[in-house]
Amino acid sequence: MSAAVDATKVGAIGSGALPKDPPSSKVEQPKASERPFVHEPEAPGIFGLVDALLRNHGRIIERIEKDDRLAELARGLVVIILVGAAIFGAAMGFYRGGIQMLFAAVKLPLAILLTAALSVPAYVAMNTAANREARPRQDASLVLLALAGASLLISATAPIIVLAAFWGYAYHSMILLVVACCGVGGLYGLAIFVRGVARRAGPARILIGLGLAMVFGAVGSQMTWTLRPFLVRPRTVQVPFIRGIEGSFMESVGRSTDSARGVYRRESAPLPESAREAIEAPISTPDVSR
Amino acid sequence: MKTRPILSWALLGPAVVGAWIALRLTLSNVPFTDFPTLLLRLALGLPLAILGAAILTAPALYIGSAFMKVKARPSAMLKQIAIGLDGAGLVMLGLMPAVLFLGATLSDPIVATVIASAALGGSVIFGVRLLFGRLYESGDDRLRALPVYGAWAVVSLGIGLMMTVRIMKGAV
Repeated sequence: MSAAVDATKVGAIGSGALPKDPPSSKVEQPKASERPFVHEPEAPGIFGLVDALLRNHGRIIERIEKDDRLAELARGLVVIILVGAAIFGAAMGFYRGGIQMLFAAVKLPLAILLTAALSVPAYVAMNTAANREARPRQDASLVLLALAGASLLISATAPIIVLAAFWGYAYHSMILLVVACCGVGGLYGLAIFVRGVARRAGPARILIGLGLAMVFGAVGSQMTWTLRPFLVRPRTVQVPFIRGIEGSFMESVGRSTDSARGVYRRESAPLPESAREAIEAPISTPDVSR
Repeated sequence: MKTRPILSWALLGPAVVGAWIALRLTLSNVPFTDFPTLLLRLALGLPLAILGAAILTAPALYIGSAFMKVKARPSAMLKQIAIGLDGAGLVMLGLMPAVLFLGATLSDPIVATVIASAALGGSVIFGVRLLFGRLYESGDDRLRALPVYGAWAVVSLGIGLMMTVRIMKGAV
């Protein structure tokens, strides 16, 4: 269509008159949902990467397979993980408020990236052993891509956490809500990872994917346990950045299961010093003998 | 991979896992004077247990495969077993960062030892799975060899497990 025709049409619409019937030679444009994203130009920078990650992560997986500018891609993905997880961390910290918002915003991205750093060598080793060809850059990029997708999605659920905190959700309900939000993000990350694994040729792909999931699950749960607290119990007086090494994630799950069944391993939950003093102080009774 | 001597990862992987278990046990409840003995026992014993189980059972795999009329030359089979063991060793090395982290942050040394042993076992099972795909390439061969290979895998993993348990029992 020529520029002159376009100008006439715009003028007609602008003056309030309806445009005449379109010429018969007009090419039917496909609907937005039917258009393939593959041919759309990618916006530059981090926002382009975010857009591609949400709309068409297949193209990024293709880029990883082609080993195309992976250092640049990895930098972008790490930034997305840092920002996305920090937003969700801050929302979790908002339940307690104050310095905990900063603590959780720092610790959550740290937990994700450290877990990736500890798990990726296992994934690279399994792929290298299976294919007899080392591709550490591609393997690490795929894991980062999945984590960036998950981080983006959990950052989108942060407002729900904030609303629940405003609403005055109970501590345990809040934990369940956080787990649900992380589950949504985790499923999206898993879907990206599975798609990436499926594209790679080679034996034992399912076994390798399961292996990474197991290592990632074990390291991730222990890492978040080590870097706890994220949500702080209302009774806690002073918020520590991290607690000392005690027990493990699995022991904690066992203890919580027992507590849910009504089997308690201690007399009562620990109280802050001020509350304990108030309870233990002798109660002064009014003298009624006079 | 080409310039590296064969079986180097197969020996290095279990040796590193063994050294870590020895160190973790020493740091928690074993007297420090026992550390050299423990280190030798685990860092040498674990690679030898895995290698020993493979050497002991490799002829049985060849005999079983040939009996089932599966195409297999003894030299090619030995080479593939060595590659499988190397792969398992490499996976053990890849798992080490995770094992070190978990072991260092868990308060119970026995749980830390169990996790390191699980990494060892998981890597060997992974190697056994890869070996099956490499030994028998055609679908027909795989189908015929599956019962023999399955039985061989169970027996050789069992022998390896028993040897490892004996070595660990003395240490823990």
